[in-house]
Amino acid sequence: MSHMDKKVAQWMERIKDYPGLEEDEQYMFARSLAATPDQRWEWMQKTLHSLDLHTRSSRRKYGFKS
Amino acid sequence: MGAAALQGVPVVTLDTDIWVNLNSRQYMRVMNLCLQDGATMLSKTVVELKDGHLVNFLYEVHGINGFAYEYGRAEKIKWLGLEIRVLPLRRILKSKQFILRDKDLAHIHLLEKTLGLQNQKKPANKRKKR
Repeated sequence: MSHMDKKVAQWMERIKDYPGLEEDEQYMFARSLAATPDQRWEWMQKTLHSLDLHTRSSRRKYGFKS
Repeated sequence: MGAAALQGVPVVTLDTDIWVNLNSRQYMRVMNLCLQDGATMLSKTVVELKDGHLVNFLYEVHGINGFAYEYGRAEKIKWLGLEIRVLPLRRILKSKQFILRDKDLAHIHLLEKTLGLQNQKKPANKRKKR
């Protein structure tokens, strides 16, 4: 188990009883809270790339104004 | 919401807001620095950096105190090898609750949830029985 996996597991344990949080949300929040700012930034950039929304010209294709 | 994302809010944002301690009439001072670095000016406050990233410069932030007050209480975080200051999640939330645009409603929900989760107590350490 990697260091990151352990940290995510610790956060999952910590937030498991939080009211109104569904299982998929639990993992999403645990992963985000366990990460460092650099990891969070990298994930955000990867998400934008994977959705083809990382440049202004690519976003325009989908109707974004900026 | 860039600052919120860096502090653990699971959100993706298309641009990064940077609060500048200048009067908005002095926006060209900021723009000239960006232009010197190869950025493209899209409006008085928005530039597209060479890598395609959008940056929006703010000269005031509604719903919270002034720059000096907030800067002194900002969170220091390490990001891409730099130490930067970001508005704490509570202050971002306060500003969004004040502005309350349609898009802020979703952000408010995520900010409140993240703050709530951060306040959850850590489970007690399990000690091995001897």
